[in-house]
Parts: sequence; structure tokens; C-alpha cells
Amino acid sequence: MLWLVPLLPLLGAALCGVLHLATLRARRAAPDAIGPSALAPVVACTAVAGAFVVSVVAFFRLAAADGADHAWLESSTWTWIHVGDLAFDVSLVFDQLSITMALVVSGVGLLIHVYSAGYMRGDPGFAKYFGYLNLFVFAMLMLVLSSSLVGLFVGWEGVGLCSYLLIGFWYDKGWPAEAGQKAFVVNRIGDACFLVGSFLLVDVFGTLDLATVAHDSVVLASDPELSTRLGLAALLLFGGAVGKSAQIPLFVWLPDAMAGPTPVSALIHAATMVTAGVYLVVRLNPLFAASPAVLSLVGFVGAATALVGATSALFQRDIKKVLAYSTVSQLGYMFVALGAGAFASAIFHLVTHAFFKGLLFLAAGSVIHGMHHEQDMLRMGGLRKHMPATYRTFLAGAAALSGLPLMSGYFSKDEILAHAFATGGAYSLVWLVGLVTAALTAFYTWRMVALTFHGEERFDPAEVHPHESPPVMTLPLWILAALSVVGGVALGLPPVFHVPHVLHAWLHPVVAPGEEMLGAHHLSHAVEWVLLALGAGVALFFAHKGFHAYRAGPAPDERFERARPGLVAFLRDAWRVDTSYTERIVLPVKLLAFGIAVLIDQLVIDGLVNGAGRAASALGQRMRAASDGDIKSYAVWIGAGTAALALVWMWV
Amino acid sequence: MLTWITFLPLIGALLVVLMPASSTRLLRLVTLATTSVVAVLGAVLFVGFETGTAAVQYAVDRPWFDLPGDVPVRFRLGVDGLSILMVALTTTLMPFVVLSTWGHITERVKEFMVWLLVMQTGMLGVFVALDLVLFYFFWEVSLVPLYFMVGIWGGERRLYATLKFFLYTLAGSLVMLVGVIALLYRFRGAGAGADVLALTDLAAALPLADQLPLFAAFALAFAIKVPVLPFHTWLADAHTEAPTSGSVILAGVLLKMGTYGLLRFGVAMFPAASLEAAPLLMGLGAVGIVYGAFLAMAQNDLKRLVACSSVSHLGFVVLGLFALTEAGVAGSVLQMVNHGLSTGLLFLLVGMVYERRHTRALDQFGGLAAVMPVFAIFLVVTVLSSVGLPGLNGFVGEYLILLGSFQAAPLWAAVGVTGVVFGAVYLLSATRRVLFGAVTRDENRSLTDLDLREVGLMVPLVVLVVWIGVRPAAFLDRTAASVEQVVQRVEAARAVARAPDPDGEPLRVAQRGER
Repeated sequence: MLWLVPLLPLLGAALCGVLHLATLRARRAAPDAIGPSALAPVVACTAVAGAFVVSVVAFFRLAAADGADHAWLESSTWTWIHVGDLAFDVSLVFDQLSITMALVVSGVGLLIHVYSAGYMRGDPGFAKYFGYLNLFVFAMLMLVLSSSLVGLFVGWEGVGLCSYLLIGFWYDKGWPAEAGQKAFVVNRIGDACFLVGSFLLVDVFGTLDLATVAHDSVVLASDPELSTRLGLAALLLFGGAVGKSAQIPLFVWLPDAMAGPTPVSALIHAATMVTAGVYLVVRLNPLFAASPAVLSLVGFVGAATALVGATSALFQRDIKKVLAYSTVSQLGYMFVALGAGAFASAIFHLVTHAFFKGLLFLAAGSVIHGMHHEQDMLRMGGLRKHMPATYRTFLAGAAALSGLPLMSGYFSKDEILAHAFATGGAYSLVWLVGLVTAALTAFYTWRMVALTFHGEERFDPAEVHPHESPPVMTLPLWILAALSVVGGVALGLPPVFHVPHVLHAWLHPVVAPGEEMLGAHHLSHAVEWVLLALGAGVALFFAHKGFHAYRAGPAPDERFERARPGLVAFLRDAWRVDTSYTERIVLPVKLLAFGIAVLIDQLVIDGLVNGAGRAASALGQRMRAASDGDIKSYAVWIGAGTAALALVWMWV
Repeated sequence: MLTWITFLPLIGALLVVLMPASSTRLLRLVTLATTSVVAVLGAVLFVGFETGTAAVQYAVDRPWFDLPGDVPVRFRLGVDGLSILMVALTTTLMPFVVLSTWGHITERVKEFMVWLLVMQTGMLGVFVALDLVLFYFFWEVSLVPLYFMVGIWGGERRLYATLKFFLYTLAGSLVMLVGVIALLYRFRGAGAGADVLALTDLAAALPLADQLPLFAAFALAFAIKVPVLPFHTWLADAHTEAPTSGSVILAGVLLKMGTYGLLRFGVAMFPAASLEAAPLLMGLGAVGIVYGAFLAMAQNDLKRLVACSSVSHLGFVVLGLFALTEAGVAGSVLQMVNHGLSTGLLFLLVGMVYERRHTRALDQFGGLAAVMPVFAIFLVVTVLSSVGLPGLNGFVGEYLILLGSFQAAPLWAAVGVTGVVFGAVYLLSATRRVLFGAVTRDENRSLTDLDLREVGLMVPLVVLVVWIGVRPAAFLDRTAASVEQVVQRVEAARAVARAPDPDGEPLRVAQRGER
């Protein structure tokens, strides 16, 4: 039964594939035929809804058994790779962590499927799109539910594949295909680290079963001989997380990934796939807790990414680019939480972020849809009159992202900052960066609101007729808006409110081993109140600033640009990281490839081979010349040969 | 059974010889029927193959003739865990190769079919022969048909390519012949004759110094055939000029003769020498992975790119073989099959697009996904199998190889792992340049999508790709016992090498340890 959770979407993907092929067939007769592809959203939504329902059932069964601390549900086993003493088998494990993830993936996934039915209507690849989307949900569920790191890797690469396919969905344009390829290759760099990390785990633990690795890490952490290898394994796995979760230095693929359809950006590149790295660290929290140095590195990388992402979002004109850099930045927050050992807080922010960022992307998609595929905010403005539902829900998402008081993002973000503050030491710097990032976040978020929905209309009303999206698209927006608003209050209030933190209590069995190894940091209630107030104040102040500065239009951008043209260009280009990779890595590798192919391979190696061939044939020519029928010369050679043989004989 | 499987293609070849050259259709059908029957027999063989034992199965043993100096040569055939997958791969691929010729072999069909069938007997013979002389005989037999297939039906520079391929591998074979003769006469009185298994036991017991030259003679021939870096330059030329079906055979099966040879006549026969040579060969394998990938990145000819990718992928196989661990060797054996399927499919796809467009230059394509959507699906799936996506066949082999080599030499494994990245770079770039973007050239607008024959000949192979990816047990289990036996031989040799000399020379060991 539990296998239904991932397999229903897989079945849905297969059916959508059949529908796509049938549509292709129908199009041979009539090029514009919709054919059976109209069925695709029904199939796909049903499949994901099925997965969601089974997850909910599993959730209640698990919740009922929660009296026992280590309760989980486990499916039958997929016997996969057996060699010698090594067995890589995969089953599905529903524990408190994986079921939380499964609910987010299938729940938010379902909403985005429904939304897509409206957004993608009329696209020639309608059925193919839903096939890919279902395949993604399958892979993502495999990722979060697998009992073993190899099973997790199946999902890990599977979501990467779907990301590749969906970013490049409009392949005929060219650049989406390039963006998809970039995403795949950059992720593969992380995956290579991941693979080596898994070899180290096999070496140390003799298995890749996640529960065993987590459990034995607690035991082996005290073994000084193993500490280097454990640390290295954690570091390499973090390398995989850096790729998938778009952290420095591998974040460059995520902004480009916006070339895909907007619901894809919402599902894959905001709500689910990019959080896989966070999930991985939380899943193996004792392994990371066993290597505090690696864990701090995780936090510092997260903080740096949060800052770079937020600053890069400040001056973007493309609404999706703002959200993309914002996602990079928010993922950085989650890693900050991990670095502070606040594993449950990372998941808290992961969940609320899935709500509000999924919402913001979908709402932005609604805007793009209503504006006939316009993404430039400088050509928007005043849209709140034309799309009231989109506007209101977007406001809810913006409020949550910027951490306005009592919104979901407010609680999850402040929890992370409180943990960073409590960790102290060098981590105080991380806290400070986090606070600055919070200010920047509030600023760019409300700049985006103002530019898109307020001010005068900067588009040509003769050509563009903005319109509200159909209910199939706005309904998911309203649901996500509700979750963005109440998600924080419902899932976890800070300790100062003296009510149990729902999510922490729920996740406790999974994260307790790691948290115990690290030891807890405690804050007095007074400090907590101050931090909460500070967070609220910063968010309100900078949200206000951002909104009012841009309410009248993009003039402040132009002022900034005149004042500091270099800085604005630098930030728009995301600190020039991508550009310098192209110059310093991509081009040299291409040159090297041509150098190897032409110089080393053709000239040197093949030259030697052909040279040997030519030498042999030249030798043959000489020999032929020697056997020229001249008896006298034969006599000389015979004499010389005899003499040589005689000499050899005498010597030996 | 094995005799039938091996020689049925030859009987088919005789049949084809007797038929009129003008009835093309009939010639093709007879060839297809013959290879299909062999494929069914191969499947029966595979299913009936008993797991859990390293013993030879389906053995055939008949007296044949005596070499001078009282070395009896017998007609010995058999399969074990090292060869069963190779036999199954060969019998499975051939009908699809024959089907693929419909599209591109239109001249001198009769001769081509004869060569195809002779080729199959030669290749199967290599994998099932358990007599050293018989093995060498088949080894040389399998060389000839491809020489003609490339030389007659090849591209513009076919004569250069085929001569290079022929002379290069022949040079290797001759060195191996010296090794064969030396081995036979070394154990002349031991009663082993030319029995491969008996010779394996005898040779494995030789001291390192005696193993090394023999190992070198065999390994060189196999290394050229694989090809291991730096003996690979014949491959790209041969592939570029060969007709599609020739390329499929070459990549699918012929190169596996090299890796199979390295395993049976290298590692199993000379474990001490293999242990000594392992660092070198792992290094060549790992560097070959990266080197081949860089070569592939620089190609504009799609077929040459696939050929270079073979260098990279076979680097994985060599790396895993000489990791000399169970995971590494088992992964390599599986990867031989995987490479045969994936690269075979890639060459088929390249051939299909070439038949339509008469060019393979990447810059001539772009946007084909819109024109040939079914072709696009097959190409993407094949490429994903080739880059080792979990769930498809390539991942299982690559993962085991890298894991196994990590256990033996972490640094070489780390070098090999970069192939995972570079492989994605060149394969996805090529895919993008062929399939994606706008259709910019008018010639590409009117291309027809794959027909039923083309789809039909690829679907079974794709099914295998998925099957191995999801349920590799059917394949790994059949090799497991033999692989374990080989690794145990190596471990025994390692123990001998490590043990202090019985004459009391621990000093030498200590010095080695210090270094």
C-alpha cells in the first residue's frame, strides 16, 4: 500500500506519456489537434491526489502510534543491487520527517498540478508536461521516502532529470534547453561528490541504510580514528546538497532554471526539489553532528548564499528572477539553521517556504499569464485593479516572505535567527548576516509588489489586456495564501508563547540524536522577546521603505544606477559568479578538449601509431632494395652474418 | 547446445551463399531468421544458466588434434559466469543489427549478410571457447569480417580506417600468439593440454616474475582491442567509417572481446601479475574516462563523438576490472553489457538520422525534436542510460565500478567520478544540438520520423535498458560466483605477495612497506 505513494504518480506519468504519443498521432492528420491530451490533467491530478490521500492516511496511522517514540511505517523491500557482502535494497520509510516531506510534496504538488491545468492550456506539449510533472512527483517522493541512500539517489537524480526536462520544456526556443543542460551538469558536480560520499559511508558503515548510518553515527562519533572519514563523508554529501539546493558555489543554475514554465519554478525550483539538500542533512543529522566543523561550514555557506541571493534580487527587472534569487537566499537561511544544529527549524522554514514561495511563483505566473507572457516588471504596474485575486494572494505571500509579524515566514525565519544568535561565537556573524538579509528581503519583496501591482500602468493598453486568471488557477492561490498566513501560527510558535511547538514535537524522534550530540543553546525569554521585536521591526521598516520607494515606479532604480552604476551591474549579474565561471572554467575546458583532441590525440598518439606503420613499410622498402638480385651484395651480407653469429657464439 | 548456438550462424551463412544475390529480401529474411533462432537459443541458455556456481555449464568436449610436442588441442566449449552475459549480449543484439541493415545496406547485400553471420560465429566462439588454441582461432576469425564490412560498405576514408584497425589489432594478436605458444609449451608435460581452465590453475600458481611477461603478452592484445588508452586511436576512425551495423557490432560486442579477455586471460589466469599491473591499468582506465570525455566534447561528427564516448565508457570497465574487488569486477562485467546496449542504441540512432539527412555534423542539425518526436524520445532515453541515470542500466554498472575502485584506490575512483560530470556535458550538449532549439535548416524541416521497423528494433533494447536498471539481479547473480572465484584468486596472490619469505627475509617486506 505504501508503495502507492510514489508509484501512483509514476503510473500517471506513464499514462500521460501514452496520451502524448496518441496526441502526436492525432496531429499527423490535423496539425492543431488537441486529441486525447485534454485528459492529461485529469490523469495527473488524480495520481498526485491519490499519493496525497495515502500519505494522509499514513500520517494519521503514524500520529496514532506516536506514543512510542520511534514509530515508523515501512513498506516491502525492492531488492536492487547485491554484490558479495553488499546489499543495496530500498524500502519506503514513513517516519515523522519523511511524512512531513511527503505531505508537502504531494499536497503542494497537487495544487500546482491543478493550477497547471489552467496555465498550460493550449500548449502543444500539454500531455507531455503533465507526464514530466508526475514523473517529478514520483522521483521527489522516492527521494524523501527511501530507506537507503541509493534509493534516495534514485530520487535525487530523478528530480534532476525532471528539472532538466521541464526547464527545457519549450526547447524550440533554444535558451531553455541550454538552461536545462546547465542545471543538469551543475547538479552533476554535486552528485559526483555525493557518490564519493556514499562510497565512504559504505566503507565506514558497510551499508547505505539511512537509519543504520544515522544510528551508528551516534555510536562511532566518539571514535577518533573514524572522525576524519566521517567528516569527509559529511562534507562530500554536503557537496551534493550544495548542488541540488543551489548554494554557493553551485547556485548559478537556479536563476537560469526560470526558463521553464512558471508552475515548474513553483514546484521544483522553490517548494520541493531545491530543498532536497536540506532534507538530506536533516535525515543524516547525527552524521553531521559528529563533525561540528563541517556543520559550521554548512552554516557559513548558507549565510553567504543568503546574502548573495538577497543582494542579487534587489535590482532585477524580471519578476521571476527576483523570486529565483530570493529562493537561493531563503535556502541559505535553511542551511544557516542546519549549521546552528537547529534541524527542526530548517524543516519548519522549508515547509513555510514551500507555501509562500510556491504561492508567489504561482501568483507571478498568474500575472505573466494575464500579461501575455510579459515578465519585465518595468512593463507592468497598476495590475491590482485588473487581477484582484492574484493581487491579494500575492500580498499574503509577500507578507510571509518578508517576515511581517505573525505571518508564517516571520516565525520560521525568526526561529532560525534566534538559533544563530544563541549559538554565539563566530556564528554571531552568521546571525548578523541573517538579519541584514531579512532587511534586504523585506525591501526587494515590497519593491516587487509595488512595481507589479501599484503605480501607473507601464504597458501599452492597446496591445496588452491584463485579465484575472480562471478559477482553476486562483483556487490554488487562495489555498496557499491561507497556508502562508496561518502556517506559522499553526505549526510552531516560539517558546515565549508557552505553547508546545507542534512541528518540533512532531519531528523530535528524528532530530533528537543530532541535537543531543550538539547540546542545546538556550535563550532567556527576555532575549527572545527582543529578537522577535527586532525581526518584526526590521521587516516592517524595510518593507515600508521598499514599497514606498517604488510605489510611483522604477525611478529609484535609475537613481541608484546613475549613482553607482558598477555596483548595480555587479548585483544584477549576481556578483558576476556565473560570468566568471564561463570565463574561467567553461571556456578553458572547451579549449582543453580541443587541445587534447587535436594536439595530443591526433598529432602525438595517432602520429606515433601511424608513424610506426610508416616506419614498418619504409623498412620493407629498404629490405626490398637490399634484395636487389646483386649476388655480390648477398655474399657480403652472408659473410657479415656468419661473422656476427660466430662472434656471438664465442662470447656466450 | 553451445555448438549449435555457435555454428548456427555459420550454417546460415552457407545457406545465404547458396542463394541468388538478387533476392535481397529473401537474403535479409534468412539472415534475420538465423540470428533470431540463435537469439532464442541464447535466451534459453541464459534462463537455464544455473546461478550460485562458478562451474562451467553446457560444456562440450571433443578431441580435435595434437600440436607438435604432444600438446593435445580439444574442441572445448562452455559458459560460466564470466562469459554468460557476453554470449547473451551477442545473441540478443544480432537480430537488431540485421534489422538495422534494411536501411543502409543496399549494395552487395548477400556478401554483407554472409560476413554478418560469419562474424557472429567468430564472436560467440571467442566467448564460449575453453581451449586456448580454439579461442585464438575464433579471435582471429572474428577480425576478418569487420575488415570487409568497413572496407567495402564504409565511408570515404574506409580503406585507411579498416587497414589501421586490422593491422593494429593483428599486431596485438600476434603478441598474444607468442603468449599462447609460450603458455602451452611451458606446461607441456602437465597434462593440461590447451584446456583454458587447467591452464588457468597452473598459470595462477606461477611466481610473479614468470606471470608478468605472459600477462603482458595477453594484456597488450586485449588492451588494443578494448581499446585502453593510449591504444584507442583506431577506434574513432573505424567507427566513423563503418556502416551503422558494423559500428553496432564493433561497439556492442567486438570491444567486449577485449575486456572479456582481460578478465579471463588476464586477471583470472595471472592474478599476481594483475595485482602488480593494477595501479597502471586502473590509472589508464580512470584517465581514459576523462580523456575520452574530453575527446568527445571536441567532436562535431556525431558518430565520432559516440566512438569517443566508448573510450570513456570502456575506461570505466577497465577501472573496475583492475580494482580487483567484487563490486568492481561485477560492475565491469555488467557494464560490458550496458555499454553494448546503450552504445549500440546510440549508433543505431545516429545511423537512422544519417540515412535521412546524409550528414552527421552536429552543426547541421538543431530542433529535430519538433520534426522527429519519436526519434527524440529514443535519443533522450538512450543518452540518459549512457550518462548513468539511476533506474536505467548504466547506473548500476557505474556505481559498482566506482564503489569497487574506491575500495581499492580512492584517488583513481575520484578521477573516474568526474566522468559522471563530463559524460553529462558532452552527451547532453550533443543531444541539445541535435534535438533542441529552432529548426534553422530547411533540409531538416521535411525529415520523417521513425517508422515501425526502426521503432520495433529499438524497443526491445530499451526494455533491456530499463530491466537491468531496475532488476539487475538476474544479471549480477549469474556472474556472482565466477566473479567471487576470480577475486579470491587475486586475494590468494595478494596473501602470497604480503607473506614474509619462508627463508626469513622479513627485511624486504619491511622495506616495501616503508615505501
